[in-house]
Amino acid sequence: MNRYVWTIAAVVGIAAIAVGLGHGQWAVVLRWGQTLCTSCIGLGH
Amino acid sequence: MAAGGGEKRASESAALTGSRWLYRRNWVQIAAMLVMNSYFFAWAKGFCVPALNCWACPGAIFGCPLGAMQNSSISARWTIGDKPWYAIVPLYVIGVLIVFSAVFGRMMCGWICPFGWLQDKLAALRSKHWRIPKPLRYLRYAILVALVLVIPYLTGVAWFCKLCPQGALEGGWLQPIFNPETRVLIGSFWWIKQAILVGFLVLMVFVKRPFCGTVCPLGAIFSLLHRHSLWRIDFEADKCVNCMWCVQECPAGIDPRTEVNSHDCIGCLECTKCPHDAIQSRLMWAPAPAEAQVTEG
Repeated sequence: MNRYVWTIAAVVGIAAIAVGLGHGQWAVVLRWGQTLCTSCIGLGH
Repeated sequence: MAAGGGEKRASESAALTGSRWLYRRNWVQIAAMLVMNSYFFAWAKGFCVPALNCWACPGAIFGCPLGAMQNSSISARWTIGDKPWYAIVPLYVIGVLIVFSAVFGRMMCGWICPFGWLQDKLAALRSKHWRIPKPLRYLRYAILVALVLVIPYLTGVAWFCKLCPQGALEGGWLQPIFNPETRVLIGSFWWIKQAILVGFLVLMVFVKRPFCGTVCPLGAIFSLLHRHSLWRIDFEADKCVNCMWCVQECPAGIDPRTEVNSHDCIGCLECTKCPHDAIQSRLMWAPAPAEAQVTEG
């Protein structure tokens, strides 16, 4: 059974990616990535 | 350990088993670091790279999965109740991490993580290192839950990012260098963050991979599936002569004789260069050596 855990996990992961992408999460992550959070890198107070 | 002799034997052994590519891990790590920070195309920041690489670095081309998960927790403060759970939970980011860890386990830590590479290089300055106490190795799971998920949700602040030494190095230094207008923002918090970075840099000389072993929440996520991942490492006790070569060489500072495939193993495969062929890697579906004992750590 152990040898199939990675397969099950991979399928679950791909399904999660598909649902996430279907809800526009790529664009959300991209927007976060393109916004410089200065306080996150110690710049600011 | 007679390093020269051991390395020569390891080299001959690896050449015989066709694993010369293992000797290129350092170059794979450098190439991965350069690609992640090459600024070819900014649109790729929607893809979360499975390694600790600050997306506030001026050259970063990919997104940081930990940053994305913290932002998701913060967003959930305002959207919970208004949206269905599958629109609030960062399924896309979690899915990417699950797929990579299902296939590779923690190999991303050993092969492509820029911060891991830095730790390897600093550890190489000394031949003897302190070991991380075993209970401390579970701290990263608490940090994952507390600083990446719960506290950002409760406070609305990305607290892991605020304390992350990789962010202090890539974002904290390179943004003020390449974007002079950000220099006026350097204040007391920048110095606190740099102090954390310096603390880890010093520790990296005395302890192998202290950040990976105790703090990294990304390593904690990959650890969960490492022992069930597609890549396996087998230890054959019959071939082992207890020369301690693998213990000396392991970049994660663990004992490969008992801890390969454990949650502390970073999947670098350095131990598979064993001069006595006592440790070998294979894909999950390949048959294990007859004498191999699967160590679960």
